[in-house]
Amino acid sequence: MKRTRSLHLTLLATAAGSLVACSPRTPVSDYQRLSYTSYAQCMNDYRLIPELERPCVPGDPGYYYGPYYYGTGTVHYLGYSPSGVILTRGVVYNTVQRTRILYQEPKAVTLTKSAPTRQASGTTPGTTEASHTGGNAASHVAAAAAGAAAATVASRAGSSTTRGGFGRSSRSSGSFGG
Amino acid sequence: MRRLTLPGRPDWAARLKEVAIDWDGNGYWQEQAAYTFTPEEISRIEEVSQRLVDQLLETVSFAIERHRLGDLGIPAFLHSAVRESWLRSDPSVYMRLDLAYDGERIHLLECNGQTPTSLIEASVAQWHWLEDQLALGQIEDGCDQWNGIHEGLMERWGEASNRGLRHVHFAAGESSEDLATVTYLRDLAEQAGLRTAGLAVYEIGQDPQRRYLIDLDDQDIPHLMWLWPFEFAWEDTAAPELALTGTRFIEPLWKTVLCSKGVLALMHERYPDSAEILPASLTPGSLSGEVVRKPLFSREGQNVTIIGQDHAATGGQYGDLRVVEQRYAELPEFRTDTDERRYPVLGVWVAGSTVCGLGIREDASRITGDRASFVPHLILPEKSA
Repeated sequence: MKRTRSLHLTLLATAAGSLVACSPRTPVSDYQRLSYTSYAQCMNDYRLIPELERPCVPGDPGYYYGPYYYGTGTVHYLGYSPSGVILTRGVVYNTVQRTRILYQEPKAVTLTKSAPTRQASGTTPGTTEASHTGGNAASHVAAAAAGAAAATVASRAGSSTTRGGFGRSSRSSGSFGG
Repeated sequence: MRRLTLPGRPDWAARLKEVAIDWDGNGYWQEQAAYTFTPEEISRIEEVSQRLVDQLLETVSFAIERHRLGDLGIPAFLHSAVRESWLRSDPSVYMRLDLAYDGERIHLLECNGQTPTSLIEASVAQWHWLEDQLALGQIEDGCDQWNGIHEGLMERWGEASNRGLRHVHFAAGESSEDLATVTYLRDLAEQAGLRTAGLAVYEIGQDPQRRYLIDLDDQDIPHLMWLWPFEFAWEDTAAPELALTGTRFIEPLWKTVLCSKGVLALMHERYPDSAEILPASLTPGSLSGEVVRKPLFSREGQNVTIIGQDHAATGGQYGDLRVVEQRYAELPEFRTDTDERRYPVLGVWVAGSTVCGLGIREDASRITGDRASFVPHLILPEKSA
């Protein structure tokens, strides 16, 4: 019954790195995102994080939204699915060491309840040398974006898809064992 | 069967991290202990375990054909879907039997039919432990381990592929332990040639207009391996989807029979003369002598009561559920090098319907709970056994 070959675990080895990056639950209010007036400008701001899935999505006419993020020195980013749903798999970017680690946000589905959208001011958190101040809040964009994003999480535009119907047992928090 | 202590590996924590185990704190992983077996002991455990697996699967058929699913606590809205799943022979990848073994007698304590945990520890980490300890000279040359779990699971994915399975979605809850377990299973599936995708359980989408559950890219999920207990799922708001969706679950819906501890009573009903199957009943108070009372669905030893001389009881989140009573089987007692009591439970892993390896958890209590530790094992060479 002895094995004759070693165990190959590519995916699990990769996961080992990303699991280390699992963060404690993040306050909803800590997440925000930037708005841009061009798709190219948005994509350019996140060119240093190639692992981030779809960092830019169309928003209101004439606007594009960057990924949701929080943090300064170590910035957590969440991109989007093709249908605009905010992903829970993201990337942690260390602005000092320029390192990138995959991570899993525990509760991204709740982000849109209060996550603000701010207008990009030429600097993007973590991806440029300059520090980011959050830009000037564009109230009409923020309000529209929050509403639109909430809709994409709760249901795809034009469809009746719902999420969150599974995975909410009150019998267990964390791993349930077995 | 013996418990020995030995020096730990200097890099043991890093070795666990390499395979994504980050839940090794508080003594969960026992680096400096091991259970030893003779080859004859392992052969016997393997033989008995395989017989128990065959009997369990026969009991699944019995429960479905004789309309006993309600007795097991499976909600009525799922009965047809469970039956159809069985008739289709929806593929199963794995499960784990928990056994009491005192060196002579073997008793089936429970079956973890759908979401058995401690998989990476049993399949990978304890194998690394064996290889490292052999290399360090801490254990005798020629020592082995009952561990074909990795290969057995890969074969199962290969068989599933041969049956036409091409793409499987993998989902876990929020803990890193569950995510790592699912990632390991996904790794094996990919090595067997399947295409895979991953998402969190709460990200699974439902749309009444569509046949299948939906992933984050708005694509159908024809096959879903999720580390989410069915008994949690049927209490979720999306529970009706379990019966309505075209998505095929891995583990399949027929495994709900083996998730219920009520199957222990049906096993006794089917095999009353078995030496390994303890008397058990769905009617509390009907068994004589010392008994263990446990909810039909509970985890990590929650809401379990030993009624008798070795009285013990645990609290938990499952106290509202119906119970099964099982004749009490005493776990063997071992002592650590600091003279603390330890009660080991053998976890026999099953790939499909074939036993393939062993993992051992030990607790300071006679009820194995979430404070139990994982202890590696080894098989001694013939000459020293």
